[in-house]
Amino acid sequence: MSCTYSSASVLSSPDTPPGLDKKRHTRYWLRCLRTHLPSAYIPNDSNRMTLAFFTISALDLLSSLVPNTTPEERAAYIDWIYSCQIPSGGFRASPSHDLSAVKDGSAQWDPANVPATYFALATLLILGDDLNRVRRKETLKWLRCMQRDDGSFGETLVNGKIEGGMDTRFGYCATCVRYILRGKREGPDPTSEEQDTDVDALVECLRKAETYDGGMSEMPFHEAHAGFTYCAIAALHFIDRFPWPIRSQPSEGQRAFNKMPLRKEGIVSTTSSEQQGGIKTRGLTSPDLTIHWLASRLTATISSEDEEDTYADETDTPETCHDAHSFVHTANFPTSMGETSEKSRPTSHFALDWVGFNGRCNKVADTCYAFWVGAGLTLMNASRVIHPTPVRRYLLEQTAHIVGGFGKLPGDPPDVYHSYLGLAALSLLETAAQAAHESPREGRDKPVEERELKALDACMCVSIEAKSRLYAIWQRWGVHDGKDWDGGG
Amino acid sequence: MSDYSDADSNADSFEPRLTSGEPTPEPQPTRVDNAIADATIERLKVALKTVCQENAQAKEIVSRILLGTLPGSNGSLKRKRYETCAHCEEEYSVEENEKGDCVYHPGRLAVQYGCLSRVSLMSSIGRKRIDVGSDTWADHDDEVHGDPETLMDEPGFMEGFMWDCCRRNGREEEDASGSDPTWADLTPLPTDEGSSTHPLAQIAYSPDYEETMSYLRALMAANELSPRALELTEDLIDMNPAHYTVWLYRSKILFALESDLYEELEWLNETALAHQKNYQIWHHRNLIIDKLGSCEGEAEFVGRMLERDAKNYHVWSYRQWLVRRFNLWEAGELEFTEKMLKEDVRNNSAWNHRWFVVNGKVAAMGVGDPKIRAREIRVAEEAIKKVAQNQSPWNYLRGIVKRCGLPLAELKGIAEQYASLEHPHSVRSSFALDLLAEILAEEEGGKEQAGRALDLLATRYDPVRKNYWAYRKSQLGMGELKQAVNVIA
Ligand SMILES: [Zn+2]
Ligand SMILES: [Zn+2]
Ligand SMILES: [Zn+2]
Repeated sequence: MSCTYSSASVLSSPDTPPGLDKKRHTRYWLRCLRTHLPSAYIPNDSNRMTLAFFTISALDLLSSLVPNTTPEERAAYIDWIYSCQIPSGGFRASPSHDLSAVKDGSAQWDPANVPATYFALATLLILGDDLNRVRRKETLKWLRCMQRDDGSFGETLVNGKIEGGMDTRFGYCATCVRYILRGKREGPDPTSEEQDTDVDALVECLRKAETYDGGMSEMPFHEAHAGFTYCAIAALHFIDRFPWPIRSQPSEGQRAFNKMPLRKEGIVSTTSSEQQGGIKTRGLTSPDLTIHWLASRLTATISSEDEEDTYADETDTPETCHDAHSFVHTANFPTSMGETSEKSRPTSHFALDWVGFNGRCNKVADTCYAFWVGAGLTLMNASRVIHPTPVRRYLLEQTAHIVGGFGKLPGDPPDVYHSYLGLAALSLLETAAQAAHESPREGRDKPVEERELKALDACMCVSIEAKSRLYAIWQRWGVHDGKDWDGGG
Repeated sequence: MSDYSDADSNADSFEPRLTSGEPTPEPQPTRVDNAIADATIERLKVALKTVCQENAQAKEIVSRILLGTLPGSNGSLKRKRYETCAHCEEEYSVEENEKGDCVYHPGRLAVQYGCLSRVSLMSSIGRKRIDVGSDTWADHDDEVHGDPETLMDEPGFMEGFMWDCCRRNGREEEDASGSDPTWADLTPLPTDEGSSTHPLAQIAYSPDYEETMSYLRALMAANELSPRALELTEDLIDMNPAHYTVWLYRSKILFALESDLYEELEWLNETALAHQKNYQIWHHRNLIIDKLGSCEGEAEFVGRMLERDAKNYHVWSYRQWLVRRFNLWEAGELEFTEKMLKEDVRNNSAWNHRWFVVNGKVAAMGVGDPKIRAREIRVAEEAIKKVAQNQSPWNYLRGIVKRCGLPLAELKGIAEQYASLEHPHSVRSSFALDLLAEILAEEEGGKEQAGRALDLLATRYDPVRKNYWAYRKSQLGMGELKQAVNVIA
């Protein structure tokens, strides 16, 4: 097996996971905050709200936002975000799309964008804004227009048409916007009197995107993908339609209803909660299989060189996957080279030192999937199926970069996307490790000073601290009756 | 806005331009040649197009005036006889210019002959390129003086560049679009960062990008559906293919101008190769192919894309769409998956596509049909025989059983072929062992054995997922994991 030691490697013994170089990562993110991103980011110009979110949220997770910025600066960031708000509800994704300088005819090509609206609201929360300037009623109305008849959400609305393909990422962002603006409760919003989105239709749509192997895709029959799987699971949490907790023993009735078929197939003829006596269709028809699929994303194939078949025992395949490969007996060897290398196989398996996650079956590991899969498992109440140490070592010794931040693969230069999701994954691993060793309450109450990174809310992908600010905001809006609040997490 | 864009907006009946408050002028009798003399160029283009559509003879005449023969095509293919140089503002005859010095004229011409670099393909408003013949570079050392590409805007190096449209020296004029009558009527809209003193996620825009974006915003704000707008979208897409409205804008222009969609496809082919990870390109392709109503050549194109990346998610998704849209279920798709799996039996995308082809058709029995089921099981078993340590076919088998509502025990035979508890030293597939554990757990009195299988996985055959196997064992209520040594002994 070939394993590249990246330049940032600080080797540690298998039992003591390396520490996170917070200073270095903070420097990376402060550069992103204070100087222009290089022109290589031009292809991401239409995702500036996303880049802004990564920057602000990363600094928050590192506890480096407030110490390194003045209140005036933070107020100016907030102003910038609001300058991207569309009067008819929602946010645009970049000032590059802003046509508001032209009085008429401009609205058509400068629509609000669903992911940008989630990222804008989340960043406002992190910056401590009270969301007072958010056009709440308009945004709720617009959000409803973003949902298709089949329950899925689009990205943007142009000329009355929902655009942006079928994609559970939009469903995830939409449910998060809905959650921030009106909590989990279904039905018309009591304060604005805006109608709710069609929650049942979304659940049905997500269930249909389950794949034969237990993962989820963007639409029926597409390949299972960790990003889409996370988005579906998190969306189900935001709308409170996740299956009953797997850990607690469900009653027979609950068990039956987790497995309830889609309404079109007959058994659940109607979905309004009254008619079902308060029982609602829930997502994920086979939670155990989904956990199986997520756990299968762990892989020791962490660099593209690992994809080559270094044992030469499968001459007919261009790519191979080392998972378990180093441990499984091969019955017959197509080549004598394969046999020789099998016999000279090392007895201790350094493949176990670094373990990453891939996004699809038989693919190489990639930093970002440490978040998509790790967070998915956390939300499935199954983070304990990961051994945190080798994943930490993979992130800190293989994909962390010497200048700070994370790259996609070992040795890759850092980029904003992988750098944020690398940190987010580390925060979840920290929480999981604490849960395993120390606190029965998943380490949530552990004081910030004792943690490396702030604890992340796996669902909203911001610090639990930032998410908690919603409580007061909901009270002010009068949308909170005490039942919705799950204490974050 | 000028006459130019007004005329164009009016030509598009979907977007009536409402001019309130102005009195309607008194109608005056006029003759057709007077009307021609007074009409705008764009209005005349629309008129001429209409004449060509309604009268074949008129079309012949117009062709003779505007089209020449494409060299090397035996006169069967035509090309434009005249082009206008976007930079030097003059119309030139393509034929007369053939071997002359104006081969660098921009626009579609270059795309059709494919003789220019990508840089000049983008240059509908004229761009600077390195003049390799210039004295500036005679003693230039990249190491010492820097990469010439980066010196484009350095005052001391202007002479080393030329405008790619007309080969004028780079020193002569810097702002091509500013001096070009094609753009003279348009006031560019610069990026507006709101009133914030601290915009987030600012990107170092290249002068090219900022300029193209500024003109694009001006065009979109006016909702101008014109050839020049079409050209500009091309430039912008090349720099920022993730722009979420430019594609929609482009398709609207294409359909409004009734542009040649085959030409659009040719351009898309190139663009798709340049931006393999972009999904908007594929959505746009859907639109075009859907409108053309023919998928001729598409399978080949998709094949070529998969040669570059056999697991490209967008390409596989697009292929599914083609199969659905053109009813290609029986047109060689199964054979195609066989070919792909022959190249790489671990290509999970190909396995997923096979699942789709077999089961995805509305109301299809799929593997519910015993004959088809037997065939698909055979395909998976053959693949396992070839490479047992491959998750894809094992997932495929599980999928078949699950879809048919059969017990997992149906697969006990094959699982035991590759993982037998009687021969714990020679397990040939961790996936077989995993499956066996699950089957045993459901068997009457099989928990003990299931536990042994999970111990083997955790400690010997798949230690990467050690914690997962422990979790599975805890679900059996079987206590802690045991070391494989003890299990085997
Ligand atoms: Zn191999
Ligand atoms: Zn990634
Ligand atoms: Zn010229």
